Amino acid sequence: MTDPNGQPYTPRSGKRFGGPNSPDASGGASAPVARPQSKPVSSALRLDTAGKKRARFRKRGWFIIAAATPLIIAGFKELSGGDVLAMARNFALFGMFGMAAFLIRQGGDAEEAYAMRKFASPPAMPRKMIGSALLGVSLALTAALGWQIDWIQALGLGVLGAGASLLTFGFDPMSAKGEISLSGVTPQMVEEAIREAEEKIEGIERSAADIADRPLRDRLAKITARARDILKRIEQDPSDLRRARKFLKVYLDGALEATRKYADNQHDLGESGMYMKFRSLLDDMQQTFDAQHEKLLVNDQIDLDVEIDVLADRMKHESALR
Amino acid sequence: MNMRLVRTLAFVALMGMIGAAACGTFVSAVPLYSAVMEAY
Repeated sequence: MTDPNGQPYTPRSGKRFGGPNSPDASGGASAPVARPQSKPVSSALRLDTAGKKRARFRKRGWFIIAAATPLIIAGFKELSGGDVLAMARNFALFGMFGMAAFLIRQGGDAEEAYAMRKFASPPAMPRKMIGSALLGVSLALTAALGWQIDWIQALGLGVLGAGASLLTFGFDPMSAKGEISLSGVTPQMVEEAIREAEEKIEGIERSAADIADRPLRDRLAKITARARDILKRIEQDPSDLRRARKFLKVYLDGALEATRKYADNQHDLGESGMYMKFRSLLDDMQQTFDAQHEKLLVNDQIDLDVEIDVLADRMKHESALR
Repeated sequence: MNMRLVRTLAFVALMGMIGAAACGTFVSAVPLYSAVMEAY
């Protein structure tokens, strides 16, 4: 281990002490202590682009609300002047800006979820675009009714505002994402299967939270974590979907049902035989899930082996032709 | 041109538009300001 100048690394504390076991000043260390070089945390943060984008979206949403705040002050001013209708109008306009900011932020979250997945359908509602349109309408109405400028100018301002918002926040994803695999599994099939499985896993987690016995809860946490690993594998290689169909349909359903029933009746059952039965069921479940995960991993390996063999044969064949 | 810069500029313009409309509403709601603006 060397320091930035290329000298053997010596801890400063050793030099300072100067005892018989301390290294001498020339750097002849007795046993240099290895110390990991610290890296700035910002390098990790820099990689979290999704997080940064989310933070930017949120910040910009708040900026929109902050820029519209004079409407609230104007509303109170109108109230003190006795014009309740003008006050209501100003508050409503502020509410429209807030709603637009909220929609854009929701759209940003939906887009992030879309970007994180390998297989995804577009968000059901293009919230970013609706938010931008609402922002334009609010701007035009504020300019025409509050600021009291000409309607044509107000309309122009609204269109410009909506355009600037679209440019800033972008469009919503509009098409489904993912490729059709060679095994004929379509992106929709993968997405649907994974969504259903995730709902079941969440159901198991909700029921597990009601179970009083901690060891059982820990076991269930392990099982759901393994189930998520399996889903991740399927997402990486959709041809695994056919292999894992039984897991998705039968085992997860069984696990959900058993957990739900046990959680509902645990206080009546007490330390009865049912407890032991459920516990052994969880053990079996864990083994099954582990085996399923292993199977998918091994299958990937076999697929890779086959591909390598085919490639090697082909290369041999082509070199023979030359 | 750098897309991020374009987005930032668009956002600044948007803030300006919203701010102008909101402040314009505020100014027209305050009689003193309105009188000053009219006199000006």
